[in-house]
Amino acid sequence: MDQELVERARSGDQDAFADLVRQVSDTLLGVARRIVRDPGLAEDVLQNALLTIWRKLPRLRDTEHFEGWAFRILVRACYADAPRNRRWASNVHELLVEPVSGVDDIQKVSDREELEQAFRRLPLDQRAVFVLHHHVGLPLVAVAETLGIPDGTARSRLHYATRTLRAAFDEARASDIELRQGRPA
Amino acid sequence: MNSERDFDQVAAEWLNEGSDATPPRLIEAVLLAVRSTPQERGFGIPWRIQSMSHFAYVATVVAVLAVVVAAAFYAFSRGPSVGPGPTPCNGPGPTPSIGVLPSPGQMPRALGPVPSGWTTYTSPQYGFTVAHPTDWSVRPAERAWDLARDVADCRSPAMDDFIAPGGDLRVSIWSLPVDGDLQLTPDGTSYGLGRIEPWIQAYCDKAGRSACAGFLNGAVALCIEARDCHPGLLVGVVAPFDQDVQAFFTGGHYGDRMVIVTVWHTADDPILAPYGGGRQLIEGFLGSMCVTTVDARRDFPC
Repeated sequence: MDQELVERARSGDQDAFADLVRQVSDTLLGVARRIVRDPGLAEDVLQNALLTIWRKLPRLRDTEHFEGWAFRILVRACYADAPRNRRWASNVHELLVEPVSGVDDIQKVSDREELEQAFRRLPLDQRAVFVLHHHVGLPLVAVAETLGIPDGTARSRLHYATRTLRAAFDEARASDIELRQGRPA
Repeated sequence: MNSERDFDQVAAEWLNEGSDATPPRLIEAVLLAVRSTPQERGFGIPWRIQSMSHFAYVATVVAVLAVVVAAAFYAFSRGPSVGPGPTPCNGPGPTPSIGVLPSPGQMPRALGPVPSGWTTYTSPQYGFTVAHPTDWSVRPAERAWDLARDVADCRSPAMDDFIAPGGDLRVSIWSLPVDGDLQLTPDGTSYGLGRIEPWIQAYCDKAGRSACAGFLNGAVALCIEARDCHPGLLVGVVAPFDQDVQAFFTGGHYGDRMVIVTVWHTADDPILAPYGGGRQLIEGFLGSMCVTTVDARRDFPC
């Protein structure tokens, strides 16, 4: 992250903020999209988060922590916007757009569908930890620091999220095996 | 096929699918909104005086001098009951002998936004992390705070003291278990305030504070971790109230302990004017501890 850019934006330089937005928006949108599971809602979340980042930038003391601070604001925007939005819990199939053929492809789609539905049942705080750890690649300690939660809480949320997804995956696989075994050769 | 590896692979593919490219119209909308959206001030008075204009610099110096004169007048106009020195709870008190400090407590670090011009401190006694103005000094607690021993002693050495330059302004922070001599009530009301108000009332009674009966007048509900909103209460922000501004909060990062933050002055004491008053000063401390008001919790990054 360009520290000078952050510093200039913090001082009220709108051009610097514009450059900053272009640098970070894709990453932030990716995180929002994976947490709220709805592209339109993710854009709303990102828009709100970017405006909050602009307003609160003068309060950011250490510019080298900008990215983590921005993640925290984004996640809070997810928490705030997701439950209020009417589109919440809709579009279950929205991400599955590729045509499929063959047993393996169908199984792959089935696996992802199960993961998608299981993930949507997770609380937002578990989703946030899962996405920051597995998608962004932050170590759990950094996830905890970013979200302002104890390390143990982050570990616990990741554990429950992974366990839920794993159970859904295993269940889908078991159903698939039963289906294949019952199918005539 | 290895099921574990299969799961990891499928989960990774599922998690990474799709495009993350931000639509240009979204960026344009944000930048358009930014034009008419003012940034929030860092905190209190401008700390970076070198960036001020000559006129603003002179005005600030005059204002600070006026506050100093007003504070002196206020102190000397309190009459004989005040005595020649500061009131009992004002000022830094004697310098304690600092022995070997205990290792930090179990309370996890919970660091919220740090106001511009402030620095952070982690309590060796209690383990919490808090920000304070950079030019203030810190006097760490010498021992754990004890209800029977310390409740009526506003100069107890069991508090972490934060002392402004000149020594006349002090903020203290300490904590105690909520399941000790004072017990939280089991059921909560909105934001859990129903659990902690009786606790604060009992604490206030034990402390023998003169304004306990009216401590809820003008009280402000607080949240630890804005989303979960573990309960807290800020009292004394409507002056005149006893002698100080106090915040009580428990839960979340702070587990089964009640944390108390106290500005040892009434909210409108002129000595607090450079910091925007008692409420703004204590909110600077609270914000850095991931505590905010219920009203402001929506945008709070904790």
